[in-house]
Amino acid sequence: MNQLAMSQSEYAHPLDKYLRQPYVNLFCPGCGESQVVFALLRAIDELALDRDKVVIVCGVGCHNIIRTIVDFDVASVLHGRALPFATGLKLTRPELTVIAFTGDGDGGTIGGNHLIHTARRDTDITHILLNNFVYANTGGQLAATTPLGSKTTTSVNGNVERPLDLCALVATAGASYVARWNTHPTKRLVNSIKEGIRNPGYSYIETLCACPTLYAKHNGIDSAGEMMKQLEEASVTKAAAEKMSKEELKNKFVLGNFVQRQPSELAEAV
Amino acid sequence: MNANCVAEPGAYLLSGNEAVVEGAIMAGCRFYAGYPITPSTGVVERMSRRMSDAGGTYLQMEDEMGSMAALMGASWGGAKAMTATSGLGFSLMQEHIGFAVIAETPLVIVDVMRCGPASGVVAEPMQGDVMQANWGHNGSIGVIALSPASVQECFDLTIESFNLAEKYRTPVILLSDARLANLREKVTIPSIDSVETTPRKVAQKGEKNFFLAADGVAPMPLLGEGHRVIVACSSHDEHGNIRMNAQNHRMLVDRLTNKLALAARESTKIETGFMDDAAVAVLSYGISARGVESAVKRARDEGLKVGYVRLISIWPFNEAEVKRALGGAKDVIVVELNKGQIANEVRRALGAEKQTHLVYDIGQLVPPDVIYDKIRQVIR
Amino acid sequence: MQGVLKFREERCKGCEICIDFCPTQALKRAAESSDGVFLPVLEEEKCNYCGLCDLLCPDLAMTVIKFKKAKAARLAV
Repeated sequence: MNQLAMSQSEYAHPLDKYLRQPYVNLFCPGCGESQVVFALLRAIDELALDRDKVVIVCGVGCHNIIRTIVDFDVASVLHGRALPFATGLKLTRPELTVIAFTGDGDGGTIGGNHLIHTARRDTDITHILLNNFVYANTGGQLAATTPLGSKTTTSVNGNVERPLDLCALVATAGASYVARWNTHPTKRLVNSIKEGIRNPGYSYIETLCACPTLYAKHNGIDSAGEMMKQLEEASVTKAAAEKMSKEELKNKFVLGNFVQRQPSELAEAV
Repeated sequence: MNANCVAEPGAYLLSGNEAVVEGAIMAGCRFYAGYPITPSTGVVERMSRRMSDAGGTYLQMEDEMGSMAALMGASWGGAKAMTATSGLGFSLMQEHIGFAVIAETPLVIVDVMRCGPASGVVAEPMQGDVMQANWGHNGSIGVIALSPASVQECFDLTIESFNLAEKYRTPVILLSDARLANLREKVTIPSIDSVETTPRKVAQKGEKNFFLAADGVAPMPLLGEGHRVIVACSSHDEHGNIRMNAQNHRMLVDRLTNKLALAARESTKIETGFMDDAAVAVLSYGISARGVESAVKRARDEGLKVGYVRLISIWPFNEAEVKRALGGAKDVIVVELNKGQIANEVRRALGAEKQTHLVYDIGQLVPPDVIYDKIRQVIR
Repeated sequence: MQGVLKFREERCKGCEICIDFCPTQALKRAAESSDGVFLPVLEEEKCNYCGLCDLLCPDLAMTVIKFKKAKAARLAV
């Protein structure tokens, strides 16, 4: 076997310019959330956004590791409160690109009330919600998105509660852009984030993230790659899902772009 | 309305809640996010109309936590931001008050106090949130809190609240109450040219000391200005870098409490009357103070050496200034609508120097007669 | 040379996503660990510089640049 090609130093990664120095990545090895951080940076890079006019608002959870990775303005706010903070900021400074970056617990459970009303107001915020099916930062407890039967530290015999479909929730509440993707293929996710940023209303993009340290270990999954593959196997496209029965859809993830329309007039008014 | 959308100078008949709104507009408040709760509803309703006149943003949020988060976002975007609530809502806001404290964020929160705990009595006054205001957020660092005793002060002290919030980059609580909320009195609104409003000191590009300064207050690195700042509810160093060690956090706590001590030294407001030769002092604040002056005057007319001290600044509680105001009095009668929240502070500050007595009621004002009777009882 | 793959060893946490997903199996797990981490090892001739490892790496440890045909031709021995 050959050595790895150690190239000339000019082949620094194109995203390196967006990293805080010194670059330290505190995510676990193989964490899907870390993949989404870089997908976001790719989207920002491809849109050639003015970095000084981008503000990332994150909450509390593994996802907020983003605050020490990216060299942008970051508001690292209280658990569950990224969306109303983002709302106050956006309405005061409409010229800014405001990106809310939350976990599923932060954004969809303790932050659930704000999720509903931000979608209702359709305020121009791009919300990337990282769904790793557990409360990872606190050690892997049950979450509102944990699949039926999954094991967590607070459901050792398998979860008996139904998980919440957050895409359906925000779509009903009034979001003008709603999508769900895996982290692979990356380009599909990056394109969706770009669409979400371009949409002048509330854009909700849910990403299914492997949690190799906690969710995977509790559910007999050996590696990050294995969890990514299992997520892929359990995922169906929107079109395919329409032809499937409720029974067939049990424990499946429906991927796709569920809503993409002109934001309501309310979005302008508020 | 003039071009600034502030009220024209003149005399008005306003309620306490209405005066708060006019004070806020005069001070430059252009962002309000709130949740209706009795007896603060008058603020929310008037603000929704006046904020629209002023070209600012009025948002009715889904709950108090959302309101405070929106205020934080607006303030970090550069706006002077305010909300109003009552006891229970104030409890829900404590987490964000802590966030505003640790991230050094100018904000004004009006607490129109009613009987508690919990739902208590919806529309009757109690000065029950005095302790909560300062200690209610976890970590209990402290805030600045002011207490208006008239509708005029509801106007004036709202402006002062915004000024102190900017000067010290900290949340300021205005402790109003259910009585003042709907009491109508004459308010003189001055010309905006004669009103001193403190502008925000913002960080310039390239500055890195976002949370520390030689004079104790750092210029604020607004979001969206290219500072690449981390505005966090977590512990941090003076540049905003996240730090999770004891040594750094101790320095942060020291910085924050030093800043409040500075505010106490520079900005404490206390009003006194007849204290030069007073053997007995009646100490009060807010709506409770309304019964005190006439009780003291009646006692004076009878030749009794009694005076009054009215706290306008509640927090930080300035022991030195309070002692100075109390002068040579041997007895202090504290009048408040709670079981001694300020009386205990006074007692602690005075030690054995003076005797502290409490006259209180809950849900209704202490009448001047009751205060007068206590004066006679104590002065014997 | 069809392209370049730069691997930043200091960023790698050994998650093996790149190894699991490489479509040509050009990346394999090192036989011995390096500071407790099993780094990926590249078989250069199998690599088509598709860039999937770059896109999927959670630590930005892989930079992959696929040369345009003209440059590749110029660099060809």
